[in-house]
Amino acid sequence: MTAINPARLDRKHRLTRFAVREHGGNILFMLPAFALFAFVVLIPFIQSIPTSFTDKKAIFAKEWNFVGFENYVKLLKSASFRDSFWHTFQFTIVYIIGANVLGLALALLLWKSGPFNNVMRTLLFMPFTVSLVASTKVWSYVYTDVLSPLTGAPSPLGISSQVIYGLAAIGIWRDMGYCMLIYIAALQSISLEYYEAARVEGANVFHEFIHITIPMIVPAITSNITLLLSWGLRCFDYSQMVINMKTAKTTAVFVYEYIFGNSRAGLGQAGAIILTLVLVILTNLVTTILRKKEVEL
Amino acid sequence: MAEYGVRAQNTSNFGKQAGRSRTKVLLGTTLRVLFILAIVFIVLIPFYISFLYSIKTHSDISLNRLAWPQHPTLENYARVIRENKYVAIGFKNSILTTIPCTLILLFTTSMASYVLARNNSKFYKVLYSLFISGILVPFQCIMLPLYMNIYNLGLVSTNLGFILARTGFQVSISVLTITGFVKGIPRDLEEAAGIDGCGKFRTFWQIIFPLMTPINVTQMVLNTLFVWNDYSTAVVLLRTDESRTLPLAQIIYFGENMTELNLAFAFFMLAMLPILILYLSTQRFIVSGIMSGAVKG
Amino acid sequence: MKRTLAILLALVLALSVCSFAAAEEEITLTVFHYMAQTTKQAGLDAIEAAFTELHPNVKFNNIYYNQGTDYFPQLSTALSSGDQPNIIMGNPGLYPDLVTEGFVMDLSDNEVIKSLNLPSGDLGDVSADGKIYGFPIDFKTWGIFYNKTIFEQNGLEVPTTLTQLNELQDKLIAAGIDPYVRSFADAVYGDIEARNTVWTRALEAGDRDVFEKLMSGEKKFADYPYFAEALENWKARLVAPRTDDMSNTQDMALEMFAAGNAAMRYDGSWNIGDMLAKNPDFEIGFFVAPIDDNGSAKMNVQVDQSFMVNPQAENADMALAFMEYWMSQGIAWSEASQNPLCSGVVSDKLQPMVQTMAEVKASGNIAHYGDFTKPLSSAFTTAWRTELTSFAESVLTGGTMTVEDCIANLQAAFDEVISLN
Repeated sequence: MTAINPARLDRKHRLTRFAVREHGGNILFMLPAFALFAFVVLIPFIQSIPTSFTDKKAIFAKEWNFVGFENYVKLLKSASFRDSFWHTFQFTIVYIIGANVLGLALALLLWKSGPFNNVMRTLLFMPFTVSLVASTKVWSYVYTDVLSPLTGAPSPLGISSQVIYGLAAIGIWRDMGYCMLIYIAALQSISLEYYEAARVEGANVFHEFIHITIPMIVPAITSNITLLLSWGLRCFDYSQMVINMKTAKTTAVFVYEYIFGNSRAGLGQAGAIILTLVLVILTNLVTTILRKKEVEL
Repeated sequence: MAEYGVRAQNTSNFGKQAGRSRTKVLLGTTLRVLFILAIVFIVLIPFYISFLYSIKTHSDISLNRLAWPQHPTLENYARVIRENKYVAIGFKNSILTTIPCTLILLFTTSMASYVLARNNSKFYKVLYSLFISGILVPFQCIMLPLYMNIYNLGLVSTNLGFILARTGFQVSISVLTITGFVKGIPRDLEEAAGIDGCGKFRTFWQIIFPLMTPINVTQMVLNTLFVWNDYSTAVVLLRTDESRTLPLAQIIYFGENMTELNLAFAFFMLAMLPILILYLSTQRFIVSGIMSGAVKG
Repeated sequence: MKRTLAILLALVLALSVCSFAAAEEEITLTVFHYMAQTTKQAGLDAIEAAFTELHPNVKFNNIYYNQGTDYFPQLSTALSSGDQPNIIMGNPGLYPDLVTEGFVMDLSDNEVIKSLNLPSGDLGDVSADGKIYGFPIDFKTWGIFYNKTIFEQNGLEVPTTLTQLNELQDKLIAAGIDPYVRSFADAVYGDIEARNTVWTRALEAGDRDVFEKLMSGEKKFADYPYFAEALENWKARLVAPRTDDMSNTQDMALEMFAAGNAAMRYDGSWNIGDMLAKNPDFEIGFFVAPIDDNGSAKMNVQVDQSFMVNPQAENADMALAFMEYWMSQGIAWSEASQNPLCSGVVSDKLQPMVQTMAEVKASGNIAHYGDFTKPLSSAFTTAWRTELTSFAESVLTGGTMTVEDCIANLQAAFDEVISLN
């Protein structure tokens, strides 16, 4: 754990004792948080890996065989597993775009502090204080009792071609206030000189937005997209509320069903590992691209 | 903030420059306010529905869901509190778990984040990524090993077990936001303290920790939201009636007592109220804290 | 890290010692169940309270999880860590792994069960590999519940043939009354609508192994003509769609039904108690949906509340004693929940239609799930139900899916599950 770069050790040869004390101190500082994190997330994750290479059925089964990569191969060939990824992506894309576009629009309208704007911000952030599960319960009533009578159309949660958007709408409702706050922070930190200079050069509002506002808030965009990407791709509770719609089954639900419900723990665990890998790769990819933009602009 | 007024509603200001009339400015402002109010209205619908159902009698709900009740009543609340012992148990457990969780997180993650923000060598970078990757692991993936570990410690259905698990889950996101904030704190102060011969420990607690107050307050409130609202961990770890937290009790009640929607929604409102009050009374800190911390990462 | 762990462990130890000291010699029996209905939970509390009067040192910890999402996952999690519930709700055939791993007691020689002389179907529903593993408390059936008041006001009579049912539906539509209020947000409803024909016809044809062969892939849906027939019959009932057909959960639909928003509702007997709870003045009748004009339809029967006893849990003897008590003194349970007992015992506190159900079952002219060699396992049940839900959606919204399409989709979904096995 304390692998210290040898080159550095050489350079600081005389300071070794200091370095040890320094790093020792650092490690002591991080230890409590790391211990908690390791106990709850890291170690369980590592414990879960071996199962994915077995044909273990029920999770309480006492006997199983190692089957190598068989589960992974089966899943990659499986249409229902691929579909679950497709549904997850559909949800995530609509959710990220919706929450960010609305969040940014609201931020542009409310970035200036003042009594009216402050109250509106507070109200818009309120959905974020409601738990996911409670949100889904209430929304099923909002759709059937408010939306359906108003529009005369059935609830989107009952229509297979719309259900995923119906779910994404709940996610957008809940999290756009959070995005808005981050954008407001970014907007408030932009120096007004940029805009004044632009006006002298005769730029219009649209140009200002594209050439000043957007580049200046890229860090906020990165932060929002990264967080929402991880929330979106792990989408479970929303999908779980419409469990009978096959067009809304996300990978997290697929994994849960196979590990626990269908007694195919090995297979389900392999699905969970694939999901985690995809999450890590995608998040890194998105962050890298956005960070690059930050540097360029 | 007053000097920012220059850019207030840059559309309308711009209009003035182009020689447009005051009427158009007024029109722009009115449109802006109307648009915001419309969105706020939509965002508040689920809250309104929940409140409405919770003050209706059973027959009022069956007759007409959306109409304002002929005889608004608080009897539903009274009945839930009187007849359902889980309200009291849930409140007790939720408070007894949420407060320790946020306090433990406050101290452990601010210490860890400080070290992670101040050291750039590879070891710390890897450790930081490890911490952050925690937000990417799907809960279903680690649910079983986590449960087994907690069980082996004899902590299933105890407040302590729930506190451990919930704290561990919050470490990642807390480290992410706090580290971002600490990077923005200038190093001068600590260096001066170092010259004065202050130890690392004292430097941190006396100088850095107070400077972290805005982000710490924000993160505490956010952690409170996440822990208080938690369902997925609670449903796995809390299996006796006596150990239920409020949201868990509420969701179970919702599932079991669908025959009386008004009671279910009264319980729902009861579970949401404390967190809403907490949010409304601290929203100043949350909004400013999120804004000061999150973007700098 | 070790030090932290050590401190933690010490803390934990201290805590567990405390909790042990407090426990003394009281016995707590843990019951894992998925009974969502309020009336059933009241029934469970009633039967437990009665048992506690006989054994004051026994307490109960009832753990409820939603069957469709959390029940088996949470049960499995508990079992795999050694946290053993005493009594496990469920039909052993649906949870074969519990049997394999020795989490359920073999009840083949249980005197209480033997003394009731239950028919083969009841025992089949609580058996796996020829051995009895569960207590079959009561049974469920499904069919059409109707609002007697609406029927009387419109001079309608209970149909006995498919043609009559279709005419009845047309009359209701003409009178501006919704014939059905549906709830396909709960996946079980497509299932019970289709089962009716399938079970009757399959047992008539002697295909006791139909589900077993479909699951192994040895046979296809197209090999059995009655799946198409079942879908046709169901399709004939999917008339006069309402906007809430697909989004209603059973509770929402019951609310509408009890409020008189529709004349009929295809539902299971498990909701009788809750229908009455929603509207105590509700006059409900029940009939089995006809599947042709020859009166072939048989009442479906499936053991509803089945409970297994876990021999690996502490106090397994007391758990067994409790289940024997429930099995033999179940009438209190039946009255509270309005569920007909497998033993056939009825009382005048039961709704007349519940008594009728018990009589029909006693007559033996039924199609019993327990007479099939194997029930559909959970992965296949999910596949079967989601495909049926898609079919309902397509028919109700004027989509293009035909009965043949649905049969093909069912086959594809089953093939998919087989490929992942």
